[in-house]
Amino acid sequence: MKKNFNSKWFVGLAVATVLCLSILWRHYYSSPKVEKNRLAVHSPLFDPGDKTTSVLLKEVEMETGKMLNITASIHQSKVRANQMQQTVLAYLQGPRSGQVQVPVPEGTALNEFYFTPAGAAVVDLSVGQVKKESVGFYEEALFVRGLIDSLTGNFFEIKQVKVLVEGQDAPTIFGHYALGTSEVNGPAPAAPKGPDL
Amino acid sequence: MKFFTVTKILFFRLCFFLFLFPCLASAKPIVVLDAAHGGADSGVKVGSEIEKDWDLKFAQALEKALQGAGFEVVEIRKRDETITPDKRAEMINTAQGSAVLILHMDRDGFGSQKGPQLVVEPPTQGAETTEIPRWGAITPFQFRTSLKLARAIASRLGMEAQLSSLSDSRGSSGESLSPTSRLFCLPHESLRYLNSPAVVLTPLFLSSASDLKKFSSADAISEFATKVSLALADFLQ
Repeated sequence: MKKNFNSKWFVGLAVATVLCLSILWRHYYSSPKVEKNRLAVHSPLFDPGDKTTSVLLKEVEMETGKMLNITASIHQSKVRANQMQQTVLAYLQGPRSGQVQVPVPEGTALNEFYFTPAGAAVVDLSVGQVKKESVGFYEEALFVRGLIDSLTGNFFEIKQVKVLVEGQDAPTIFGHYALGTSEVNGPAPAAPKGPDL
Repeated sequence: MKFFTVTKILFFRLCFFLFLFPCLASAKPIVVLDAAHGGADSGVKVGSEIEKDWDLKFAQALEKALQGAGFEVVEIRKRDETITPDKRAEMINTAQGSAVLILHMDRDGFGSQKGPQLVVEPPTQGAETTEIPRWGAITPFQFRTSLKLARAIASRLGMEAQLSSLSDSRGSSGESLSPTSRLFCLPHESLRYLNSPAVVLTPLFLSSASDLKKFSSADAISEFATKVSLALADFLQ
């Protein structure tokens, strides 16, 4: 009887050990895969031998104030997230003189960019150098819509664009355009139901 | 006994007609006016033009025009003072207005834009599926009512009634869009937590010399305010 109890106890202990080991294995060896995805964009964005490809960026025609699609070149890096980051950089560092310019307030910079497996492009911006009183709602709206369209228009994998300010969730970038509720891409939802007013 | 019962009923009826009915009949629709920024928050600046001062100027002219048109007006900011966004939202929601007008001036670094401009908040995704909307959610009904208010103002100000093609897809779905329209459906920090029909009204761009010239006289501002008050009367009809 005592022997039986001991062997059952031993089997139970062995099963528990295997379970613990498998949990530990998953924890230490599976999580870094996500981390690798995030870190991938920190490595050089492209190799010197990578071919160039074109992307469409949203820019503003000075005379009319209309948003136009302008072609820009980026490198075809092996990691898709690196191409996305190059697109964001091309948008932020676009032309600020001439007939067509980027609607990016001067001083705006990219802190970090990463693309999550769920399809969210996270753009962390630095705006410490921008004077808030020099950016109104219209310019802020052009900037955010341009950023979203430049990303979602070129990369079908992006289902959502999340904008962070100095690494934090913020209600707005410059005080007017409300972040957090609008940066969703995807099929336009059905027309809102309600009485015909 | 019967006599007393009949007298009681007659007494209550008399009370109703003498007090309650006249009160109901004279109830005026409430319009909430919020001059944005103020105090330490100056809003946008172009040279010596400061947004918070223009916001207050237009709010005061609108208050006069709306009171003249028979509305009860609740003004959120009456002087140059700092009010936090949360406090503003609380004050506006507590007023339970039939319509809310948030006054903002704007600026455009490209110099091509002019007022007036209108902004309505897009509906929150999924807000139509819950019976009790979560805090801060803009229901489709609220969105459509705000859009109706914006269109009434656009019509009186001679603006295009179509939504701008820059609008958010949640509000512009099913709408015909115009690239030249100045009526936007975009998320605005000032509209985020409001539960009444609300629009952001931008009479002028501080970066536009023609806008500043147009509103250099008090008469021009008061004429603009009269048009807006007529639009509110159209909306609340």
